[in-house]
Amino acid sequence: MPVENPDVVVIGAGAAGAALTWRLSEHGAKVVCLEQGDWVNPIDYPSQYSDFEARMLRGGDFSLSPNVRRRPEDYPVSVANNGGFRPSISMFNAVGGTTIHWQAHFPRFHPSDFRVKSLDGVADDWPLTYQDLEPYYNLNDRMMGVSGLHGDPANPPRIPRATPPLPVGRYGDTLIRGYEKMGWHWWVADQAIISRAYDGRPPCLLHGKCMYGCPIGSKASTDRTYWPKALANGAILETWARSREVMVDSRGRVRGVLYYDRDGILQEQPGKIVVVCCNGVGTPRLLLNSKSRYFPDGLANSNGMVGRNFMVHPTRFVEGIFRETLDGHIGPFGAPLYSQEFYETDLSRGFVRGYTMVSGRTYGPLAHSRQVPWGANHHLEMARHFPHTAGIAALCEDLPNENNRIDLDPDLTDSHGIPAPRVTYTLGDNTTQMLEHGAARATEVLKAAGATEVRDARGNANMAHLMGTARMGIDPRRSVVNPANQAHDVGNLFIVDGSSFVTSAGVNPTSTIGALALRAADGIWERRGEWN
Amino acid sequence: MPTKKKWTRRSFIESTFVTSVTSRAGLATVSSVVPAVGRSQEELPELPGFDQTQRLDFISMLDEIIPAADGMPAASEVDVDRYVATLFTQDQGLIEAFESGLDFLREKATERHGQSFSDLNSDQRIELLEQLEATDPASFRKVRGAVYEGYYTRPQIWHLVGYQPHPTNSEGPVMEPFDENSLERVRRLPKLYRDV
Repeated sequence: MPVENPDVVVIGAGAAGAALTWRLSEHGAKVVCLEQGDWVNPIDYPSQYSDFEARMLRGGDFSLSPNVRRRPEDYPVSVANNGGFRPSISMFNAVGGTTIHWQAHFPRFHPSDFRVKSLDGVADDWPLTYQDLEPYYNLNDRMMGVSGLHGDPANPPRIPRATPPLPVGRYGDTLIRGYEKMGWHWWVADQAIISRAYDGRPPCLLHGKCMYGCPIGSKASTDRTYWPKALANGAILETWARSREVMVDSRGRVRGVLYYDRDGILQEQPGKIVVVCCNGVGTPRLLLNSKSRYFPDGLANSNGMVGRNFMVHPTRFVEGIFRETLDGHIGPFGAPLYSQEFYETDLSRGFVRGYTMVSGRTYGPLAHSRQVPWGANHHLEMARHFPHTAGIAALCEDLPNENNRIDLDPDLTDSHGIPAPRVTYTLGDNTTQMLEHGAARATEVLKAAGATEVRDARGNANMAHLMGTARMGIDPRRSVVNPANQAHDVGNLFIVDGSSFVTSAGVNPTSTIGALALRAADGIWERRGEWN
Repeated sequence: MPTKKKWTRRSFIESTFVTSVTSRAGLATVSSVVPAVGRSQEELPELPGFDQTQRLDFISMLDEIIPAADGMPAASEVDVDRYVATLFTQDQGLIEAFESGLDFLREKATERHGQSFSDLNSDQRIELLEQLEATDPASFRKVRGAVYEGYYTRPQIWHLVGYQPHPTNSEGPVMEPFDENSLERVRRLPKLYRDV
């Protein structure tokens, strides 16, 4: 049921929505959050069962793709086939959002990531700096609980991590050997997985099934970090509430949200402020579906920029097979270590900007078996692969391109008949060069580490990072929100998630999404005099 | 040719239930070992809609995809057949992939060797499976995926391949704490990020 007279209506209960709701509720705002999914009971996590890999990999109910998973709370996403690389779209729709099954990498942007135009002459500068965001990175770190080690020469100094680094195991030691032989940078990763008890949550037990759901809550997912605190502050979370459109009043200001409740009944939730936190695909979809007399092309879209500049972090996975027995299938799934040797721009490499080499751990035997032929040699080949592989992913910065976009599919709808998003994406030349460079450097590291065979595991792929489709900027002609995440077109509408990213950087985005959400919440609260 | 019924998920579930009840009530036929797959009739998986030949071929197919070798059991020895039968209740497309694959194998085995697929020797079976893979790669990929899934979700296989499952209620593996001394060289590197 709609809540009477809330100050702020937040749409989406994932990384951004949770952080923003908590911060506003700390200040004393009356907040209601609409979430199309439900709470996920940890007893339902695949990690608890022997078919855990199948439930993610084969297309079960924990698949990364909503198109495969097809839970009632999911919506379909179409991807236009333009003959080239087609990004896979991953997300999870629930309280906690995609943090339910993320790997919990927790790097930060570099200062240069906010100044790409000034420094490298490409894309656009962010209208804020690393220093503007730093206090919110720190606050978000404290709220989520981070393991790691400060002192990395590739990153600005930061406050000590809440808990020490997680073990890297034989798997990590092997990769370290490679980086050391090459004389390249590496560092033990910041992870939103605690290595010691922290804030009422137990330390990681190293089971190695983080992506299949962490039932004990050592991995930070916002249903375990922000939401209990937000609810204790009085925030209201309405689950099974699928937003259809954001409504505007006769002055063109947002007046509330039209949503289907758990019984499928259309409700209107009024609010003085509406904050859209539906990820880089869901947010433009909702805005484009919110058409009115004032906004015939979609809410906050007077300049046609909503949905444009979609970015995904193209990635190349390179895998090495080693003689020694490794332990990639135990320990925290996220990267034990990373290298930013090739992060900052060096034009002699043939491209601008850069990438992180992420050394995530490996899946279990079922995932490994997929690369192994059937028949007489099956067991020998399997024994050669498992547990003997280590991999490196070159996670590349994706530069914004207005033609890479989300719009509405003319035919496809969700179970409520709401038009589905459609992705159109072309891999840029700069990114292609970067991917090749990353694959070659990853190969060198793995060989230096002692791999007997190195293979480019999957060709070009992409991460589950959905960014750029309601970009931030000072110029209302070229951006959707201002530096406070406030829509240029509508004063009481805010957009806070990966869609507000101006550029993607070459690192995982979630810590930056959380920091932006906390900062936006403070801005909304500071201007509470303008709410009515 | 034996008649073959096309199964929907609903009819499959209903039929499985009937077969299961009948079997538990002691109404199964008299036991006899089927040499081709080394099992008694009652031990063959309950695959409603699959005739006897198809059930035998089904087992043989699984055991050529993952055979007993190098100290590892064949697929059917760890009940992959029953696992796949369970998947049939969830995935109509998988039933169709197996049905079309088994039809192909039966037809080719009869045509070339005058025998059922399960009565062929291993080399002959592999040759036909390779043909199936080349002729209908999408269906074969689905079949192969289901067999692998049934095999590598078996705890007894985990043990044999060196996978440590560490269930949620266990303490987990012992791993050495990260050795910060390993970063000695990297700590001495000049600053790698750009000041703005």
